[in-house]
Amino acid sequence: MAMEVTQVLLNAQSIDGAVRKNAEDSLKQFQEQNLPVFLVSLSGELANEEKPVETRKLAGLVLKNALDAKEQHRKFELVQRWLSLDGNAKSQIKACLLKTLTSPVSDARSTASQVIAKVAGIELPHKQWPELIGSLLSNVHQLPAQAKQATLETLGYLCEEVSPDVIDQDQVNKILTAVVQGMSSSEGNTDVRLAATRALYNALGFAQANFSNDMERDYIMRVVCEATLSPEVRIRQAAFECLVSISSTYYEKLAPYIQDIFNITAKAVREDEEPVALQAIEFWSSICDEEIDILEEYGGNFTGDSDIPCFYFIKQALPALVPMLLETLLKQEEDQDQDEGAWNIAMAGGTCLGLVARTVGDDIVPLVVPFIEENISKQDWRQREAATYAFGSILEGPSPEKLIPLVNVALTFMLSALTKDPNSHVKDTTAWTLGRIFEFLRGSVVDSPIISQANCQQIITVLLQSMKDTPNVAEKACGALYFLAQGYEEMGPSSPLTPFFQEIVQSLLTVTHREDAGESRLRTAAYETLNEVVRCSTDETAPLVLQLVPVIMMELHNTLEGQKLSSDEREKQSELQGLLCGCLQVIIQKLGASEPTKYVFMQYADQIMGLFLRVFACRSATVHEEAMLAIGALAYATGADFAKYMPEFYRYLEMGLQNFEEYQVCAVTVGVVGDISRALEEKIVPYCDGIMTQLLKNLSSNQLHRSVKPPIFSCFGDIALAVGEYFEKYLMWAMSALQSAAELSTHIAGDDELVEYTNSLRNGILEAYSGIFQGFKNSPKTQLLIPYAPHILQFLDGIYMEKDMDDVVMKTAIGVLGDLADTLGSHAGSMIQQSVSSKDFLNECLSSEDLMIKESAEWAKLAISRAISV
Amino acid sequence: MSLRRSTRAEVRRNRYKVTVDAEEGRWRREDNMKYREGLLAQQQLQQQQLLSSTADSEKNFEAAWVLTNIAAGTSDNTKVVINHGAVPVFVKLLASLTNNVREQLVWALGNVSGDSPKYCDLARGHASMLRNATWSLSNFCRGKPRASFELTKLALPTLERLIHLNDEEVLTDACWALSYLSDGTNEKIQVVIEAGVCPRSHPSPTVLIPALRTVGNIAVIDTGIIAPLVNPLQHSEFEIKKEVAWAISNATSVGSHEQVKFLVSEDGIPLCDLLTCLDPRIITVCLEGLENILKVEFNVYADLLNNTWGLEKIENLQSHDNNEIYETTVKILETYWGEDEDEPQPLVILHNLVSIL
Repeated sequence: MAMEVTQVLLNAQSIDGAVRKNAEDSLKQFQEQNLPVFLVSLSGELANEEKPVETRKLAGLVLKNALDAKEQHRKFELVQRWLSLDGNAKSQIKACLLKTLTSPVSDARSTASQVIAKVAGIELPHKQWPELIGSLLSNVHQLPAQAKQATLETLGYLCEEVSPDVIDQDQVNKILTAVVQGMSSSEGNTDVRLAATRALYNALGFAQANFSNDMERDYIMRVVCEATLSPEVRIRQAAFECLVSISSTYYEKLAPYIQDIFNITAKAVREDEEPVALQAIEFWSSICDEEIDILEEYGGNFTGDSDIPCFYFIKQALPALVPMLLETLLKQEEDQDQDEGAWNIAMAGGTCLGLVARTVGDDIVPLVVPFIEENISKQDWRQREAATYAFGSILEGPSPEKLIPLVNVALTFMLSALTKDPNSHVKDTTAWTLGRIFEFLRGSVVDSPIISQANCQQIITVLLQSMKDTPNVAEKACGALYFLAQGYEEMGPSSPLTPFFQEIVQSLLTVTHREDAGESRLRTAAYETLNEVVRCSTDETAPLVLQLVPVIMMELHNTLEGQKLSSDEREKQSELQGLLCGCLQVIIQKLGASEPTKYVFMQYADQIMGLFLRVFACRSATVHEEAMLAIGALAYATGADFAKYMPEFYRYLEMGLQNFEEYQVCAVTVGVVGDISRALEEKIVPYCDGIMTQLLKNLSSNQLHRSVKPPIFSCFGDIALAVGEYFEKYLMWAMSALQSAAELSTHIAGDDELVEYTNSLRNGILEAYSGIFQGFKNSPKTQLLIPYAPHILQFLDGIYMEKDMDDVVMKTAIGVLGDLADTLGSHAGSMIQQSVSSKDFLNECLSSEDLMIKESAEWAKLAISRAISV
Repeated sequence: MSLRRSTRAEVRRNRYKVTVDAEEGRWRREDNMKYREGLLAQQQLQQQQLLSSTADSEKNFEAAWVLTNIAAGTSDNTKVVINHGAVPVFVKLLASLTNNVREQLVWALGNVSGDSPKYCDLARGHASMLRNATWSLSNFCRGKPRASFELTKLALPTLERLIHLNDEEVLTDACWALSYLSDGTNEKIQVVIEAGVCPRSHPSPTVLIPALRTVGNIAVIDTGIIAPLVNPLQHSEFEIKKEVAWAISNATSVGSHEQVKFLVSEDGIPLCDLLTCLDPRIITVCLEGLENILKVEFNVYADLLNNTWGLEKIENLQSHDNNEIYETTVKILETYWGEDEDEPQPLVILHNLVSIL
């Protein structure tokens, strides 16, 4: 029953576009006409030793794509399709795949490995294909090296595809035994040993039980450490990758091995080839990550309620680790700062040094200072750069008391180096270091502040001058200014930056116009810095911010005066429009925050809105996220007058809500609907039909990213609050959607991410209820809500009983109880009294340490007592 | 689970010497839209502030309490209070969010106005203060979010006294306050009725409009009150016609079937007369009223409309350029005269209500 696919598959790889297109269409047609036959034919092609290798590979690839897809909903469809496929066809396909593992053609084997793993990923969780692992393992011991290698590879992919809980421990043990045996030095074939080492990397997640057993763990660790000494560089690299993975998965089991691992990694860092050395450094970076997390969880109270104790590996290794990392700093590549993809030993070592500083704090300072002093003024730029980098990397972690004396000494030197050092790399790192000084040591309580009236002028002069340097240096200088400005946020009425405001803004605008501003993300950095300078500015400079409005508007206007652009240019133009919209957003927020400036700003509102609409119009299919956000800010500043823009803006709002593909755009638009509801209040009514229809559609769609769903519910609340009893029209729909979502979100068990999502969902649902209750309050239609009250109370009781809500949900939930009591009053009195929420939950909230929860609870208590007493 | 090999290096590289993080800038900008938490939070906050007695509100409360007590004394005391600029203070304090302050102020104003007929004679020059007070009282009753009725109903005795004054402005504001108070649930209206505060007739439209609106509200309970209104509908000033139309429409929307029948039997379907007016809002109100009437007993009133040119007037509205009017008209015609056979479309047809995962 198989069909002939060889020619079509060959054509599908033709250099002739028309032929290719034709072949692709045929493949699609085959698939639609008879899927089982098509898939069987593909597997037959893959297994057939007489077919050309290209068609075998492509057959495997098409087969793989019929099993898996990137988009969640598509993936789900494919899984369902496979599961419901004819059993006979599936057996045939699987047989072909397993047979291909023994093929002499390496490409065919490796393709088959991946497809087998995909099938396993679908079937094993459904308890299907139980014989797979057994048959793979039986191969390992009997087959020639090639097949053994392919089998180990398959086991590796399989471990990547399926989650550990679908394979029972007995089979895990067998897999690990086969893999570790394949890795051991007694295995003579390099390809087999490499495949086994790579397979172990994926299988480590399955080895929980084995790592708890001292003997098994010792054995695995010994084999891995031995593999780091293999003569084959790829095996050494793969073995270090295993160590890295072990460092984060089994941190708490490492104590007995850490000394040996240090020796192995130190040797690799100093002597081995770069890919291996990078992994060796990564091991220590990863240990830092673990310890930083644990220590953060300790959070000052050393009762040690963290699940995993801190073993202070970094602190113990410090005297040897720091010198090793400092050495790596001297191995810079010439132009690494201009190369965005660069990643080398010096960069990895520098990164690790920064993490070490965050892990151990003050202890690192005396180990690094001599290195800085020794090298900072040396002839060789590498030494000056390494010293500067070392200084920059220890600025986060140690206490200000320890750092400020150093910074006070170094600052003048740094400022001078930034303009005078002959080497661009040194200047780059110097500017970065200055940025870190301002980032981590601003507003420090220590007596001697780093920035004084005296040196402020010099700092700004130097930074502005550096903005004229090469793009990478200029970008770092912008960054330094960014953090400098941030330090003066909410400083009060006056800021030391005020006298320089005009000059700073002018310089930043000049940077944005540089020919080379596209390099090193310089333009973005300049606009972001401008935003920060505006955001953190004081009332004194408000007139200057006002002057900036027409300037930025003109910039945006210029991007719209389009000649025909290439797609590349169009992308750049769109990026620039995004930056300008972002800048206008910040300005609108700044000026909108006080009445006098808002009043003056409003003269530009019509024109700005016109520009935003044009930004949308110059994109054909999709709306601009940044313009959308800026419009949200404008709506907030404009208030009810925003209604005049709605007729024109509405279609873009709708377009944004329909953008499932770029779901962030959809999410931003949902937020803007909320902004507009608040701004327009009843005036949003004419648009509510369209908006609510679209929002309900979005909720029901399984193609829209789930993260957009919670804000949609919150948005219901915003709309209900804005339109009051007019919401009656949508009440039934909104309440049904809320009710089913509430039921779904009451009990969801899963990993941390799912719990977090569930809580955001609950919060959205609760905000919707809150908005609806408050919107209907004091309306004659209040009684429409009464039928929904039992379910809402049940939902509150349900999530309370689950005991997994976070503080935000708790606050919103108790608030909803209050709103319900407040709006429904005596109608709901007895219902409320019967609920658990009104007793245990309320009491728990009343005694909460979180002030927000407590306040909400007190309000709820009062509302309930009123409702009951009436 | 540890990160994939390539992802790890990428994460590290992306953090290497990062200065300005554009992503972070974006997040910060989005976060800055703090009002996102919006009115929800704001309103709850206000309600919470009603409860929390911060130092300020304590002080306000005490001040109000002292003033109330003085104002409750002799007329001379009241005069002193008022002459010392207390009324503007009251006005200002009414904006206070604190529960107990508001309550105290309503009492204070009650005392002041209780004394005020006398006071007005005594010091005519200061009438503006009483006007202010009444105005603030009406604002207080209107306030958004609406103050608790438990509080605002304390204003009823005060209003009862105020509507016997002759100052047009005071009367206007008092009537507005009443109209706000009566704009609510039936229980509330009942309280207003029981307080015996019924607006008097008055030649001035500014007084008559809120008065009629109050009557319109009260009509929900007591449709009998409508009868005298149908008359003005035929010859009053336009502004007043509008209010009457509103009152009738309102009565039809909340009244029981019996009440609506009674209402229509009083004088045919008077609302039709206004369908030819120029103000789209009035037309809309009338259409809504008609719709409500038709809902009750279609056959009877459809004939009635046919016979009184009412239907023709409705049909003419299909060419009205106001969208809302057009839509309501079409809806009425489709629903009751069946021009379009289609079922009314639901808002949206969904296969599954929510897909959250």
